[in-house]
Amino acid sequence: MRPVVEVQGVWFSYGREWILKGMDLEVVAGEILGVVGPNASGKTTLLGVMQGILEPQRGKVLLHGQEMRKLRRKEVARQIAVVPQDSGVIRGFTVLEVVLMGRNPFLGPFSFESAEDREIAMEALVSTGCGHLWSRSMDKLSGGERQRVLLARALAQRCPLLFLDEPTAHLDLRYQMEFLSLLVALHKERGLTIVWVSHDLNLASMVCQRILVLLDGRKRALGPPREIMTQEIIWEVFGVHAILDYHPQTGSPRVTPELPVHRGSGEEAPGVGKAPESPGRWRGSD
Amino acid sequence: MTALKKAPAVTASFVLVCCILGAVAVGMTILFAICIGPTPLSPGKMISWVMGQEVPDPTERTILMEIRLPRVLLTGLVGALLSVCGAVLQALLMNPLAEPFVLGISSGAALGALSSMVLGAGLWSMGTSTAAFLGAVGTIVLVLALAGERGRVNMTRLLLTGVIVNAFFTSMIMLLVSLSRTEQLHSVLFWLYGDLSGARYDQIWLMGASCLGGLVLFFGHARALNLMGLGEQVAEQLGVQVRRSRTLLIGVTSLLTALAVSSTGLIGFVGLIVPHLMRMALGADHRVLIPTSALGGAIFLIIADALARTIVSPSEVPVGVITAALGAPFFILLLRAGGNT
Repeated sequence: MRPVVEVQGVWFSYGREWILKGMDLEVVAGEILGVVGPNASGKTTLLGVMQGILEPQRGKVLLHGQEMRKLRRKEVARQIAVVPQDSGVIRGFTVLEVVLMGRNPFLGPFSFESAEDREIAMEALVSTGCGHLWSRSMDKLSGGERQRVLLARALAQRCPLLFLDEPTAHLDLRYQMEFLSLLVALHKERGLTIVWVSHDLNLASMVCQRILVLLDGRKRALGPPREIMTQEIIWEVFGVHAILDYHPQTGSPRVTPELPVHRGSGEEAPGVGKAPESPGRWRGSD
Repeated sequence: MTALKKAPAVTASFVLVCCILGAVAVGMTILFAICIGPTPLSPGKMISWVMGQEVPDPTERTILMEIRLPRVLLTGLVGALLSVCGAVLQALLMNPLAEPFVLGISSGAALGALSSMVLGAGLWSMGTSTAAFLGAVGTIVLVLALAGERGRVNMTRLLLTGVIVNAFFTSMIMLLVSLSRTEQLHSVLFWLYGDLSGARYDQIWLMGASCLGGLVLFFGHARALNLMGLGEQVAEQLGVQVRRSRTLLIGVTSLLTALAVSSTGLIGFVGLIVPHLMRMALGADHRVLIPTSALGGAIFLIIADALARTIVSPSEVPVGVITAALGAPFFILLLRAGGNT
């Protein structure tokens, strides 16, 4: 089967240096693909190129085999829904109005949202646990609530593809977990294809079938979490020594970074070695 | 001030109700404005004229049909144009301080008009309004050219370029003012603060048609404006062809502003406060904001002009003085009362 999104030899620059240096990627229908990498490795830029809002200087992006730059924005927005990184405060709109904006790709210039559009929007709100917020003003929400409303907006687009850029950055632990289980459920029930840019290796490892590791605008590794989450790659990419084990429930690889020890000072960093009651740290796959 | 809009999302019927109420209010304002003046006319008398129950007095008829009605209608159209252009620019530039004059259009028009007034219209054989229109359009082209880069226009850069061009032209305007002869000074200053006294029906037809065309275009872009107000990327992600819509909307708002300015001079404040008032009262959805800003702008300017021509009767105050003097305190009051714009 043909990949849904194909990135072919893409080079991208905002003006000075190259951010993406010859990127190739194929997103397979129905997968959850994680994109991880250090700051400034090109994660968000890659996501922008894959949505067609950034136009690469070299190479091309295909959506269902069609060249992205030739598609109208409405056509793309019927295929790809995006949850942005951080939107900032949105003023003057209610929660329901913001979610209804997700229906924009399906409406003509002078039209209003139909009763069906409203139903879709409410359903999306309820599914992200924001049903009770529907009539609230958007600028009165907390960061976490806002993030979930933006997920609801993306769901209201009813797209087969969902792109997420650090969606859990503003969520507390409970909502991170709810967000993850929601993603997994959506993926199972609706067969969504999800591309998820994340800072958090462990979260990505829990839900992603494949993970793309970016380093300096290039693909460093791509594969299932068990293959790419190795001490070598984590050291090379993040510059951190990692202790690897497995999540007791899901069996996905789990990274615990080692706190760098200041050698020569004679003292260990605070906290190091202060966990004698822990069930014992054991080294993972190595 | 709590929002009048209680509904959690805008519907077509809500927009329709707002438009009908607004139109009724505009009608009543027009009726009020044509009645007052040095020769008072009563609304009852006018209704019986229209019904054919009474034959109008020729003098009163002339005052009404040749002086007051064209002036009030032109005022309403200019108010509507400036206000709706302000609403659109605030969304496009993502800046609550944006108004039709922010891109330098006003000073460009003023420079054109003053050149023809001071240096003599005979020089280029064109009227003040033609010169103003050319000045305004020339300025927009200049600002867009200076702010653009490889065919793309960055909104922050556009705003800053407009401000700088404005400053430069303002100094040129002061130069012309200082060069003007004493007997010209009065008309020059009046023009700079808005002069609605010379209204003619042919102007009204032109303005009316442009206003209607602009409103249809803006209303067609209403949802796109909602999204563009949230940011370029969000708008593109939700299916807006941002660059194309932006170019079109900036071009049209600029032309409409140039048209308004060239026929009546500079009338500030309408394009800034009316959209904000509407946003506070009715929410930020442009499907409501665009028609109600137009109607509200018409009402606001008609009332301001009615005051301008009556408070020091038989003399007149420039209407721009009234819009600022009336608008500023009113706006501050609303802002302090808890508006969320």
